[in-house]
Parts: sequence; structure tokens; C-alpha cells
Amino acid sequence: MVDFLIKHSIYIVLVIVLIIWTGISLYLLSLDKKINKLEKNVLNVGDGSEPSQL
Amino acid sequence: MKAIIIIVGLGLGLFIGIYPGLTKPKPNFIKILAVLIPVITIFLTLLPPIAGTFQDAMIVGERSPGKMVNVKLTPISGTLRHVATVKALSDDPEDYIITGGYEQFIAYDSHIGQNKIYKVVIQSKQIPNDLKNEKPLVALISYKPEKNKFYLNSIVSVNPWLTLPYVASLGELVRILNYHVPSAWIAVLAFLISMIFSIQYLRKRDIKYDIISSSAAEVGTVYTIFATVTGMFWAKFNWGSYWNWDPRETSIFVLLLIYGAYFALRSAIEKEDVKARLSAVYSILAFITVPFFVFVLPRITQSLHPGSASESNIGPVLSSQSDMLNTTKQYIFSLSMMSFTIIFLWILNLRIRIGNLRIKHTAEVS
Repeated sequence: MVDFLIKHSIYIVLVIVLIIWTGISLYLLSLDKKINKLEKNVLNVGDGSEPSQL
Repeated sequence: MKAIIIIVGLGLGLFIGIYPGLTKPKPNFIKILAVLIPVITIFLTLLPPIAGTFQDAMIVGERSPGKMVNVKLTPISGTLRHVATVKALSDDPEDYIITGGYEQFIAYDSHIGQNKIYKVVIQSKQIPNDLKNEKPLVALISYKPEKNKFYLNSIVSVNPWLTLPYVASLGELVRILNYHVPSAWIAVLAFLISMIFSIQYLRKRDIKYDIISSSAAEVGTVYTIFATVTGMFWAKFNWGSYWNWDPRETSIFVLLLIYGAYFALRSAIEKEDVKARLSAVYSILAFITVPFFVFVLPRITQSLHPGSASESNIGPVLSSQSDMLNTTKQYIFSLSMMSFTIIFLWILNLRIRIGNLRIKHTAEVS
């Protein structure tokens, strides 16, 4: 395994880039989810429900 | 043709990124695309082997003898002849060395514009089975000018389904092209969007245009920083130091300063409408400098960066004249443009929605 990675170090780069992208995309997805929730809360303010805390 | 492929990638990216609207919540399938397309780009950028031609090996060998280059070999069917001398090293029947074994390969010669037959000397214990089976392969070869011969060092991949072009003086580092260049170009797009919505703000005086304009400038600055950092790492391995005030580095640094001043200006003013008005005017003025710093200045000055005026050997990597990028590379580059555009528009969308929520919140509180 170590020999393989020394010979083909591009796979290490691949794994690192994929980990970074997973992190960024998970962050963006969770941010998207939170904003959706907040937008729903803000739109519902007029309906008598609790106003959101931003 | 090259420009069309890249513009199609950018256009598709804009279409997927903007759908269903710059400020509207994104449907799930767009989010899935925005995650998956970059993953495909990452795989296609990093996994295919770099493969040049015998011409590349010759050019590299004449400049620095012994240096090895990945070359795509297509054995000529039926003409493989082993004229090797086999020398036993010990009594063990498997312990022998073959020298002077010539294999004939066919490769495209860009100088004469047609295929040419080349011979490669194999200096290994065994002639690899993949060579015997006459499969196309990517092999690490070196050229020795004094002997006028190509030597095979090792086999990188067999039956490659995709290969990336070899760019002289870049080699393996050419893979950064798919991250560094799109991020710089999309930063320009971001600053352009910032300028357009600044003009819109000055015409309509609606705060929502100011939110879009400032968000685009923010994301554009992040992309510029990303281009700078990836460029710094590339410079470390190609030039030997992270930062050496090359014209390209200086120009992107000045660009960062210009947009840094934009945020300083915004944070210095408290009144929303004054802030929006002044920063809109500044954003328009700032964008005027962007094409000069990104596209013009580095091309007219003497620089180490590919595409500069002093370039004598490799030429602008992305110019329409050079044949540095083969068709596969162009498609992968276009795909990369598309994924960077989608990510940019997604982040911009989130940023604008946060800005809108903040405005609504302050309106409710006051």
C-alpha cells in the first residue's frame, strides 16, 4: 500500500482534494438548509408565529 | 473551436447556477449537480496520465539529457522484433538482463504533420508483457542526444482511456490549470456582476441591488485569493519560491488591494444608503482596472508566468494558436469552468439570501 502510494502519489492529492471538497460542499449544504429555515420563519412572521432570531 | 468549448462550459455553468433565480432557493437536483460536477472534474483532472509525444521527449532530452517524459506509445502491429541481447546474471533462469532490445512505435510527429515510426531501447530485466501484447500504453522514456536513442524506463499505464497533454516546462504541474485558471476567470465574472448591479443600484436606488453587488464582490475576492494561493503553490514547484513579485503576482496583489479597499470603504460607513451609493461608485471604478490586471498587464510584461510577453518556448497555454491543449484537455477544462461557475453562483446565492434576511431583520427591529 505504502509502495503503491509512493509510486502513485497523485492518489494522495486526489484524496486530499476530495476531502476538502466534501468539507466545503457539506458546509454549503448545511448553510443552505439553515437559510431555508430562516426564510420560512421570516415569511411566517405575519401569521402570528414567533419572529426568527438572526 | 477552443473558445467555443470553453464558452459552452461557462454558459452551461451559468444556466445551472442561476436556475431558478439568483436570489431564490435552489431545488435539490441543482444542489446535487453542484456537488457532483466538481467531483467529476477532480477525478478527470487528477487521474488521467500525462502523455506527450516523441517530439516532447526529444526536446526535453536535448535541453536536459536523461530527464524523463511520459510518452504515449502505440506499438506497430506485426512489426515488433526483439533484437535484444540477453545476458544471464546468475544461474537463476529468471535473473537476466535484456539490453539493446528495440521496439518500434508509431507516434504523431507534429513537425512533419504525420505519423512516424520511432524505436525505443528497452533496458530492463524483462520485456514487459504489455509490450509483447502490443497494447497502446503510456511509458516513461528519456532521450539521449549523443546516442540519438530513446530509452524506456517504466510503464505508467496500459490502454489509457484518457490522457492529458504534456506541456513543456510544466509536466505534471499542468493539472493545476483546471483549478487556477477558472478561479481567476470566475473572479473576473464576479467583479463584472458586482459592477452591473452597482450600476443598477445607482439607477434604481433599491437596496437589493446593493446586496447582490457587494455579495458578488465578496465571492470574487475569495476566488481571487484562491487563484493566488494555488498560483503560489505552483510557483514554489515551478519557480522555486512561493512569492517573487513576478508581474502576474504583483498585478493580482494590486487587484486584491483594490477590492480590499472596497470592503474597508463599506465597513467605514454606517448609513446604509450612503454606504450603498459610495461603494457602488467604487465598484464600477474598481472593475475598470480588473481586465488590465488579469488579462492585459501580465501579457505585455516580461514574466515567468505562462502566457507572458517573454514566452519563447511554450506560448500562452490557452491561446487559440497553440496546440498545447488537446481536445480531451479542452473538454475537461470546460467542465472545470462549468463547476467553478456553479459553485460561484451557489455561494453567491447563499450570500445574497443572508443579506436579504439581514435587511428584513433590521427593518423589523427598527
